[in-house]
Amino acid sequence: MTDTYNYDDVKPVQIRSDEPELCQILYDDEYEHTMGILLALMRDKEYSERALHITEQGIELLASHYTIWYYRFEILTTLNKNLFDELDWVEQIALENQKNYQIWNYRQLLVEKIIESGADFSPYREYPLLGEMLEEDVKNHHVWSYRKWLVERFDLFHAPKEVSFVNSKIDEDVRNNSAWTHRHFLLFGKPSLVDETLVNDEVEYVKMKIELCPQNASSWTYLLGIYRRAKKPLGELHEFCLQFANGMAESESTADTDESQDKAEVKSSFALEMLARIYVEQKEIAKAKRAYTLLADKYDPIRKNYWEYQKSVIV
Amino acid sequence: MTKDDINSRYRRRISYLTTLASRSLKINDLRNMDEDTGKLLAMMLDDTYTDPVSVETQTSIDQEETEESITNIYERIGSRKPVKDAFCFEKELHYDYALSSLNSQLPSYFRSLDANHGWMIYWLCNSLDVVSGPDSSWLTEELQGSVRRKIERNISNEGSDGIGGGKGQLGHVASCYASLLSLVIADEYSLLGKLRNHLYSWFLKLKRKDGSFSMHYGGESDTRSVYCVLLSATILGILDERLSEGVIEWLNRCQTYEGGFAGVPGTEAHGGYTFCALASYLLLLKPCDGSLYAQLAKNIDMDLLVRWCVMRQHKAEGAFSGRTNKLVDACYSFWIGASLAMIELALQKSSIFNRDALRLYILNCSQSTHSGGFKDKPGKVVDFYHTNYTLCGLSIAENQFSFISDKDSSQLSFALLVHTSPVRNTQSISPVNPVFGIRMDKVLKCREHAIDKYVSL
Ligand SMILES: [Zn+2]
Repeated sequence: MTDTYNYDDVKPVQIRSDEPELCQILYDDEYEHTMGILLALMRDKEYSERALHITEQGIELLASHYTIWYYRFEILTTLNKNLFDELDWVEQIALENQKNYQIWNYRQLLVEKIIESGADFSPYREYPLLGEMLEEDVKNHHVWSYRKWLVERFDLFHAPKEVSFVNSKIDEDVRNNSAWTHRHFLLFGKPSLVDETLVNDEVEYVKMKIELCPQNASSWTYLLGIYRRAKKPLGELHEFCLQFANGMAESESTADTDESQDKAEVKSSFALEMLARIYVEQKEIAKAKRAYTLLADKYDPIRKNYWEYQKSVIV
Repeated sequence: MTKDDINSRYRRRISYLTTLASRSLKINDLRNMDEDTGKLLAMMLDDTYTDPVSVETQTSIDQEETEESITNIYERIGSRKPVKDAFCFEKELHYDYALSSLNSQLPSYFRSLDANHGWMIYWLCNSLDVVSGPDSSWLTEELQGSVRRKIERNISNEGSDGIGGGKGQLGHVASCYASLLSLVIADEYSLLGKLRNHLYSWFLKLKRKDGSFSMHYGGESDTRSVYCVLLSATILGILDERLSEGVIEWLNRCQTYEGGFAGVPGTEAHGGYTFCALASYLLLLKPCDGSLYAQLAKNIDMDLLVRWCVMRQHKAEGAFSGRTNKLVDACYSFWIGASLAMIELALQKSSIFNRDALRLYILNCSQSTHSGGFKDKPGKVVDFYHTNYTLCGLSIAENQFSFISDKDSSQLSFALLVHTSPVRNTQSISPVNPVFGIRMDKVLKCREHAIDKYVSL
């Protein structure tokens, strides 16, 4: 397996102890041998072709072994290797190891090093890989985090390509919260680009998505988040919310009669919650309490304690 | 969409509607029952007021599928009379599972955990500790020695290059954290004392200008690495201004527009990172500077944080998801459960979420009554990680939290001043400190050591 290079002079680190130990892993010979040599070379600070070669083998055996990634990076930079080739190699490893996250930090290190060397680097180079990764798992946290880093590092805020990408992900699945989060960063992550027009356009966009799918935590939370950051009064949303929660919170009566229940038309518990917040903001105490009671007893009873708490802190 | 897809969807709809019809009959039975469990099940099974899915997307398809498998389990429980035995806890099985895992030789495919040796020891020792109640007889002198030797193998340069995930590996903050917790659980304070100054110098080397810490040399920094350093430093009694400088400001930036916390500023709010961030505040803030709520509210949006955390509980399943519009998973019983416990501490409220619904999920959907141990959800297999965090989550659900206040300790952080009391008389397992994720009595001992350290500073 290690026929290309000779390691006969290396005394491997004994990763398997002779005495019994807790949680002792019964390594196969290949693994034990490869890791033993690798860790010995690293301890001796050897930065050579054969060391580079064995890190490749190590990573193929266990991609989540963070030590190997660190060592490999040291070797590459010491030997002045072509880092674009390395990016291509890592791409393969990433595709084979969907859940791995060492890879993404490693990629960031590589890209930073490339930029430092003065070479041109286009963030769009990363798009095919990211696209393919999201094919497998459209909510892959590490992939989205890396994508966020690209936006920040290469100042892609409001970049048309990125906006149309995130639009397409939300169109694919309007409940994809990772896409909503990315959208938020893309549009609001650079405060100097945020103005009233943007906020208003965005509010219209979310409203449209809510109309499409009223009981969606992602879009309502996004809407609340925008209002909170822009310090806009929630009252503006009153009419909008009534489309999805009508007939009971409006009633002045706080009595929970069957009659008022019949008038109930709640397509979205989030709309009812938003109404409660609007009434609190507008000091319509009785209506706010009524809305929270409906949430606690009927429309969102799993959070009864929370709704009761919200009711208790209305001043 | 192919014709087959449409047909299978159609079939699913039909079967869904027929179960719904028969369900409503049972729900009325359950609701009229005297038992609390009947009422709980009725609430969870009732979907009269749940809006039918208007637009089908991958998220709603996955959600419906998971919900269906769990609802079936709850319906079975609901049709048993009496429904009392919905909360069976197989203590001995879990004890045996953890102890035998600790002592057995693991087959070669376990090499996937080869960079997590400290973690395995923490997950399994902690499971044993939590499951055993106040009894510590599992911790024999021989086992204590084995834990110490196992951790010692992974120490790099006496600790001044940290503790790695295995022998010869690079020091890693999360491995260090798990290793130190293992030593606290195993009562190996002499080794902790030896590591103290060395680890301090290592943490300083990992400190970044923005206030956070790198996970290892050349590694990433996130709320997880921050929490692991702060907790390790608390155990060792070395959490000083040099280490804590700028941390709060950095954490504040990690709260997202949703209210939860992300790993780094600008990414998605996530249960694990939210736990790490919130626990970090409790490790940094002290009662001598005001109430926990007032200090948190000065730094972050508490209203949105509370909202995001309670929104993680799913009605039909009772368990928590880790992100908005994702599926429930038993390990969040701790990550979100402990976050909610910390929120309850800040709000001075005894219960802000539905503890019984969480217990119902843990004991009926996550607990394995064959092999022992706990799994993510039905259809998955048990593992060390889920066993530990589900047990810790169960403990959170069985307890309520408050702060002890005494004058000697006002210089200590809130994390060391948590007090628990059982929610109900029948307690399955030990109370766990929501910041440390280990037994309360073990934290108490830690605190005594910490008080000594601060006195000697
Ligand atoms: Zn999990």
